Amino acid sequence: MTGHVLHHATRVVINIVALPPNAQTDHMKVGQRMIDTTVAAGVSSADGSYSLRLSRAKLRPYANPGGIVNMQAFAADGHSFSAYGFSVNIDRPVPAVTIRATRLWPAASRQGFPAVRSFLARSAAGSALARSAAGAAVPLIGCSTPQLITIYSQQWAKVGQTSINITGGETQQFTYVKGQSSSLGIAYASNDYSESGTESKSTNQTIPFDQYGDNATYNYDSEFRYGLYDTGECGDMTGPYDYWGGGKVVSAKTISATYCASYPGGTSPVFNTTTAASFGLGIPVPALGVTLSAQTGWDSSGFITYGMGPNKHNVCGHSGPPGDNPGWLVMN
Amino acid sequence: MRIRIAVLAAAVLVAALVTFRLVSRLDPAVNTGPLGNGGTAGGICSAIAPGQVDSWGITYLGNTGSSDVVIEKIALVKPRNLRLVASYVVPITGFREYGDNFGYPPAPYQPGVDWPRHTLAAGTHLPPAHGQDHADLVTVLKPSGGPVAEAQAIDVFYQAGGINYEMQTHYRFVFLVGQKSCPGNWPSKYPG
Repeated sequence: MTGHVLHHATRVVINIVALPPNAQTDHMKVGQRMIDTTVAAGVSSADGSYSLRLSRAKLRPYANPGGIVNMQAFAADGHSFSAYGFSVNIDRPVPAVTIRATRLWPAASRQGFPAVRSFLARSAAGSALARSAAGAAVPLIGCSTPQLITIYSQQWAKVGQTSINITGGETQQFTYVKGQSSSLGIAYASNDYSESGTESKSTNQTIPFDQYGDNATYNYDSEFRYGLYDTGECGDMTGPYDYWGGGKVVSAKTISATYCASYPGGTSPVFNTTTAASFGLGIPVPALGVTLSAQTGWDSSGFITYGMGPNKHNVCGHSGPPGDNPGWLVMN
Repeated sequence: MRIRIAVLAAAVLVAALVTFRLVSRLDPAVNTGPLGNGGTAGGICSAIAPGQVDSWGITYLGNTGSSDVVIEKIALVKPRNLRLVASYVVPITGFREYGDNFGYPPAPYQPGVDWPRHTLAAGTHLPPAHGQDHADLVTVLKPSGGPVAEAQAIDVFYQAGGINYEMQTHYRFVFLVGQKSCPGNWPSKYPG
């Protein structure tokens, strides 16, 4: 696994932890702890880039159906600390992961992050050390396993979108199938809650959204619950607790999409939502006054189906062509 | 006892590494090379007239490496009643892909689709991509021998920096020969 740590100018200690699969965490009760496990550790180079060795076999016990493993990266340089949540699919090639963490605890505000101080103390004493891929000793960052404090009420999150900007007998449909994952934002508390990566939650039911006609844009929503977790010296963290269910279709404004490919009349292309766009600011956590991102993807069983009708039309991607990372897809 | 276990573990590790190297030499790495991981997943159902061909030009070819990619072979994955007639590479310099068209290439003129510079896919050199410039693979597919023709994906075998790779798309093809349209539930009706 390779990537880059933002917001840190010097060499930083990186710990990667794997979270237990949804099946274990979905039924946690208030007061219980989520037993995460450090699976890799290392130190970034001076420019912030890092390279850690993670074996698929080692991650397999933490995998959700479809091969998705929820992970968090902790980075600390002795004076500041940051955390970043992300998911990898161990059944597919793992892309580079940029740790886009907000710098949570700069030295100026906390005179040194307590977890950093404690891990430095422990490493000086020769304990709590992990091994980097090269075999060097790396300090373990001293967050405690997340303890569930509160479960918030369910909130709607956008999990899909379809759009047709023309009239002529075309059709659109979004299918959200059991086992599909959505990536939902997590946030650590500093002075305020700010998003720091995502965590994946799988649906546990199929939602058969109806097929709709032309000249309309629809958002497809489903509900999730968030929880508040105490991570000890690393502060409070809010993240998705479980998938709640339900389905809602909402009319929406169309989206601009400029990367186009034409399809003949009589065809019906299907686009898996693996590469769907992030829906940004998709799910609110009212109790904390924060709204976090929601993104559908990862699994092959959720998809958008367009029907061309009798005539040739374009399908256009918002961020790339239909064949390569299109993000939102619109029929024009 | 611990020493024995350590020796055994080391032997297993060495054997695994040797096996991995042998396998690596024999089989190209799938979807890990500079042409990427196979692009958008999904599929397409096409209602097509008997005897007609489909020119599928939505397979994205972008070389993210630092040396040229050389395409060696194009193949269909698990074809049934479907034949690969020809494969071409066409440079793309704008916001429009070659697209999907019934009939043989070329498709009607589209800005940014540089058909005059097309090449037969096998033997094509793709330089490292700059900006959004890339190429599309155009595969000419011909249903033959049944009312339903299909393939699970397209395989692109190529070489870069002396290493063999394979890019396999995640895009399924279903052709309904002689039909006027595809049913809305075609992914479940024709699960492949």
